[in-house]
Amino acid sequence: MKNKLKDICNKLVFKKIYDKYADEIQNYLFFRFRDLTTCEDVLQEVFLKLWKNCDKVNYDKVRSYLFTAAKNTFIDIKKHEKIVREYQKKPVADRTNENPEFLLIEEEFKQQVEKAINALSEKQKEVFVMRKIEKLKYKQIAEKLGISEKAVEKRLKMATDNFLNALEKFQGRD
Amino acid sequence: MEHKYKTYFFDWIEGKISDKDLKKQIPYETYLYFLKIKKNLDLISDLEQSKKETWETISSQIDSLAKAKTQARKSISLLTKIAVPIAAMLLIFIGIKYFSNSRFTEIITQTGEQKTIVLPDESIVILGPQSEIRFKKKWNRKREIFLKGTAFFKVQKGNTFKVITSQGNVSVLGTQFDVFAQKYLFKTFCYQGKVRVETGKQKFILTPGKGILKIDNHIKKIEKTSAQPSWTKGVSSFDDVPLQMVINEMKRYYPIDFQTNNINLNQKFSGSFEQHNLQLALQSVFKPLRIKYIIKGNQVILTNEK
Repeated sequence: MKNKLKDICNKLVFKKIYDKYADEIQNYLFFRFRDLTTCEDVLQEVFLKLWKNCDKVNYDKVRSYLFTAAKNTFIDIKKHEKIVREYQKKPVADRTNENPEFLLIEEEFKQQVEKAINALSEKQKEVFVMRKIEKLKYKQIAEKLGISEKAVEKRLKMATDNFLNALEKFQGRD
Repeated sequence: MEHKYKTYFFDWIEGKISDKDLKKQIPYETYLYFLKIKKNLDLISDLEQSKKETWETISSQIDSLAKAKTQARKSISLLTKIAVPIAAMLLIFIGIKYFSNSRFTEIITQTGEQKTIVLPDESIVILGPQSEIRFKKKWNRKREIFLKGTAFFKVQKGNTFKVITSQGNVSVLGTQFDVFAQKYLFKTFCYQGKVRVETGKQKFILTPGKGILKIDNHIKKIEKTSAQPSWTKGVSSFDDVPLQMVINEMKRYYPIDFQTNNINLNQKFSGSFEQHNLQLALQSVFKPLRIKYIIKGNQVILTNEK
């Protein structure tokens, strides 16, 4: 008899797998495609593939299954792009007017930012994530936590300072 | 890093002080560092948002997959009942359309659109935006094509190939060239072979790397080296052309209008703009000319920078 907690075909188990691995896969895809829309599409495709094969995939090997699927899809798309280009007889653009700021975003730096957020105390992290990641307003945060808006600002200020300090530490700056 | 910078960071990231103010208060290097942090925080936020949305799509797809499994049998019989008559009707419709159509093929492109077309003799046309070509479906000996707008031609060897525009005619044997035929602008450039151009009473023969440009009846010869025009590669480039022409060309790629009362439209522009990103295109044309642009809906207001 199959263990119920390891049955991928169960939607609840599947959702847990998504929560656990979506970040990693998304990161992998984003820094290869450098484009959020494509990244979204492929992320969806990869997980749907897992769902369709849910009775064939071993629960303990889900992570490597997902990564293999992501990698294969990436290669397929790149190959297809090449064919499309040849068919249109359009040579590869030899220059780009792409904003150079985008090139500033490096995978490593993003990881350090995430690490710095995780290094905050629970209370500070809560406020910081609500404000900076979920982009909530002071009022909304105050209501959720049951504290005053002033207190939210104070806590956020402390969190921001600590975040900067932690980030500096990871970067080896002074 | 000095402690006071960190206070600025908080005020800045909370939107209490502007980029400009921050830049004044701290060293440039620190400013870049802060900018990078902000970009990354925004990126993490975007990724988080997209992750949530993606789960919602996956979830709804999973549910519909489950439904589809149970309904599979039903839907097959339903499919044959409805789809087959529809398909038959479509076939008849297409048949009627095909046989009753005129002898000409007409192809029109919209703003920002580009099409690659194979002609009856296997010559290739790349048609620019807001352009129109018309040609006979069957070509025996005459190869004629009517053009309004911009196109690049790669012609197979054979009889004379003629491009007819309201501004003049271009005829060739087997070659590569492009034609711009707009209201006040007529331009032809030869990339390979030999091209003969007639505009008004004047006749020119162009060899590779040569072209002519006619603005308001004033004719100018151009020379450059290039294998294929850059506009077929997603970039429009200009060399010493009045700004008015550049703006006209931009309107063909983006659905926008310009307010140009306050600027000099006769100043010359040399450079290029991207055809698929409005922000970048506006930046690369107007920044070097020190012109400020403000986007309001589909209007772009241009003023001189002080």
